[in-house]
Amino acid sequence: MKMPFRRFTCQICGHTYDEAEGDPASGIPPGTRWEDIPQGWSCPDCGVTKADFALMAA
Amino acid sequence: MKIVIVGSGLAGVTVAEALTKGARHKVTLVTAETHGYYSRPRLSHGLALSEEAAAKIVLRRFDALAAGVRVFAGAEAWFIDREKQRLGLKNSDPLDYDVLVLATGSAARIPGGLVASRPNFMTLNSLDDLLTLRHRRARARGRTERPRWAVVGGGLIGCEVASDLHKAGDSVTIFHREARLLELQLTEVQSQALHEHFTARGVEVRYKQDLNELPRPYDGVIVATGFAPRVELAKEAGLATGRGIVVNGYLRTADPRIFAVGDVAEIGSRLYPFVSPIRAQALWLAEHLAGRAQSGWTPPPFTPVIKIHDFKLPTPVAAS
Repeated sequence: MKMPFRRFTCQICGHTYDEAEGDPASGIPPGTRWEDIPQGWSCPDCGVTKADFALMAA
Repeated sequence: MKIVIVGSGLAGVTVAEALTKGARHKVTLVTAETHGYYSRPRLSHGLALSEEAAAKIVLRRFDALAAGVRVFAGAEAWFIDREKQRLGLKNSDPLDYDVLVLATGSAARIPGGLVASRPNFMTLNSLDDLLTLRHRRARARGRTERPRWAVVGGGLIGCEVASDLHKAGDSVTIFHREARLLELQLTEVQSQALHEHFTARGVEVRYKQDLNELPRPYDGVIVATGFAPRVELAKEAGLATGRGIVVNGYLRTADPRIFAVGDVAEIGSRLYPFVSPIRAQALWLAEHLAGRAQSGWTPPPFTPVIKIHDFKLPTPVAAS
């Protein structure tokens, strides 16, 4: 079974990354898994790194 | 040690919460804000949000900050008595400190010619400002199907707000003083790409404008012409100020008991008004006050974020 899409939230500003939606403006297509986002990606709202995001409860 | 922090933005709250993790300090946060802790970068995209989403801008109420942070909300820091190590509050007893951290952030900078017409325009510098704007927008939509906005200033906040209002379905005209958008952050090629993005969507951009005149007639005018660090408290206490409060590489003013952090801190003639460096400053300062960080603060590499709906910059943004 396919793993359902997850959502991650920026602990600094509250921005949500939804795997289903991706972040097309930063070149991350819809459906991109959290693990597959490059380390250099940053929060589109406030600029902090991936490490500052946490998994949201479903 | 009694540590008093003035300001509840990213800088102040991050210092306060980080301090509660280690050594047993008494941490008091003084803030004029009443809504709670929120991230300012989100405000510029707060107009197109639903009521439900807008309500989530406040990340934590002040009573939900880390245990051990005592908060004086809705309190105005009035003066610093450096000799007695006391922070005077308006309408409240003064607070004694061993260390004072100034994280007073910044206010909207208004062109001189517009100051007198204050009731006729809005700014977007705080959550209160956003709520006022949302209210004004709702009222305008009661009168007309497509409210018309003038955005004064084609910098970061101006462009982001214009993009958000357009996304929300409104008509937007940007009035910019310079010959190209975001001239401080973007290359000429990038500015041109942004210009084309806006004009292709019907957002009008007027360049070389005199921003000392209020554009009219519009349903609303939003002035976004930069920020002014809140240095008054430090200045009146006799501390050195430039654009911000002058501090050394340890974020310390000439008074060894007073530090500045965030938008308001001027380090080597530079301000670092972006989330990543401010967060880094705040975490460093908490470590330093806990006696751990011995060498000074060095800015991390960072990229300013520019949030324009459905727009991707041709090449990476250069740090300003």
